[in-house]
Amino acid sequence: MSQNIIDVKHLSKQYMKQKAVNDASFQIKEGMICGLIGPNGAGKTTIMKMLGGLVIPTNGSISIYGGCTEAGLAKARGRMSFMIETPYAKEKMSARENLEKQRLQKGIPDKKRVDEVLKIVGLENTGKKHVRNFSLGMRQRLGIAIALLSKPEIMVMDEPINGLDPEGIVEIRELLLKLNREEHITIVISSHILSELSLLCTDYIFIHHGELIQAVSSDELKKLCKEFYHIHTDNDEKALVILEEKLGITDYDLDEDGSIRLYEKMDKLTEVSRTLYEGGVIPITLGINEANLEKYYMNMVGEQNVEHNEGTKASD
Amino acid sequence: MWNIMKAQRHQIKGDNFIIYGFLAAIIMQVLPIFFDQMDMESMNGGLFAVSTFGMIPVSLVIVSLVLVARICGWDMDDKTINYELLSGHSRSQIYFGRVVMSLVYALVAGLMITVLPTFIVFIIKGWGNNAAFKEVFVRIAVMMCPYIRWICELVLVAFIVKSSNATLVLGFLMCEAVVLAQTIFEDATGILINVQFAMTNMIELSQITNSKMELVNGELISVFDASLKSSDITSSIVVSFVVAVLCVMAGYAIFKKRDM
Repeated sequence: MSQNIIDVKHLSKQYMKQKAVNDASFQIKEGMICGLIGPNGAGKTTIMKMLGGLVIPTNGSISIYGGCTEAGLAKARGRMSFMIETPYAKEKMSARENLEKQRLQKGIPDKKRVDEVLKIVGLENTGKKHVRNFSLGMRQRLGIAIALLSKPEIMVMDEPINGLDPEGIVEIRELLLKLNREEHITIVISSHILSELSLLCTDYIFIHHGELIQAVSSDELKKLCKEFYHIHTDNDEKALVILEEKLGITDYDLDEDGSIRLYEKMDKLTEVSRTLYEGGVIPITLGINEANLEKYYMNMVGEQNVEHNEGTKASD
Repeated sequence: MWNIMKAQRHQIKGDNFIIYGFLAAIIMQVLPIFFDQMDMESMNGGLFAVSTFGMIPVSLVIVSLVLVARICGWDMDDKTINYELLSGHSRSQIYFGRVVMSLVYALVAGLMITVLPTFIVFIIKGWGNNAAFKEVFVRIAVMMCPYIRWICELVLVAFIVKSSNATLVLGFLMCEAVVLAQTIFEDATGILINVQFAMTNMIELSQITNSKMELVNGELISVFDASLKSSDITSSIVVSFVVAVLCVMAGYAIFKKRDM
């Protein structure tokens, strides 16, 4: 049974009048690939910075590998690596020189490690080219190289595929999956490209307006992202009555335009269609909507925005 | 902390900015030879030391500004200092690693600038009778105390402004403004300011004004009195030490609580 290696309790960060993170609690287990999902300004980067010690929490506690004191956390961070925001680098140095400096400050004795990580991320041929002449994608790769330098046990990555071309995105995804599978590296990753996260993550943490909305595993998410029939007819009101009386449906929702979302009878499309037709209703749209992370997230954000706005109005 | 210092050493090695600053400081130090059109025939170690003493504060300011700005400010400019925190180094290791680097490099460079040219002349021409070796040596040694204080003040500035360029500008303004303000005030009011600023202390220690003509070995030469009063020595050392420690602790207090 995998243990909790990161334990965050009631974590908050207040800047002047704004709460960037509000009472967030979550655990990261060994071996997880955990996706942090949220819109811009949700608090994902602030949480990652607090995990890394760059930002000092206002309230709450962080424990990494059991260490929760300043000294304990510093020691634990030696087993981690981070890539936060746009990778930091010395602009007038080459990729190799930047990595060499990081190798020295991390105390990595093996000089060949620099060549290894340059090759892994595809920057081995940059030579003496200064980082200021790098593209965004190349800078991202350099950030990943720095993160890989110390062979960490946990990697915390803030939008690592930002700026990469499609080939690069696939490369990094496969690299992260390989590191997780073969070297048992735990990964905490944020990205706006939800389709990529859905191919990568074993668990998800949803954050909005600085608050943790939900923490679910990918299996649980599949259950929550229900598939449904989308039914739109020439008379949706009548169609609903027919379906309730003839098929006894109870698990459904109505969209704004009156069309029906039916969450049951998923293996009985023919029966639904015939029932509607026999009842004198002509189906215009009748199809299965597959749920996915993106739709689930958009629905959740939409609900949260409504709640947040109502909360803001109430406090005004 | 040792790893941080090794990484800093790697970074500043071959840094053109530091090399140019060091060269500029050396040139400033030996400039009096050319402007004052000294008689190189009668030049010796003692005379050279006394003649170039006045430029020591200028040279020390140049070299210390360049080194502290680079060692302390550069990594905060581009946020590469964050990697040290993210790698598990404590804030005290990161801060004091830079303080030690700044002090060591600036002191070594400062001593090279102040002592090396004199030492070269001494080797070639001997010390001579224009100034007592012990007095010159003590003066240079005591001058290192406000210099150390100045370095610590610059470190504090660097950690407040978090920028290499801003450290350079503010540091330069600090030394110029302090000296200018003190001079203007004293000239205008006739009131002597008894507060010892690092820069004014270094300038005071660099001024050798007492000299007399003496017949030595049948030759009439200028003999300079480079001695210092014990009270001046004590106050320079004590005040410099206290202010240096306060600046270092203040810098750490600021850095420890700062969000990066």
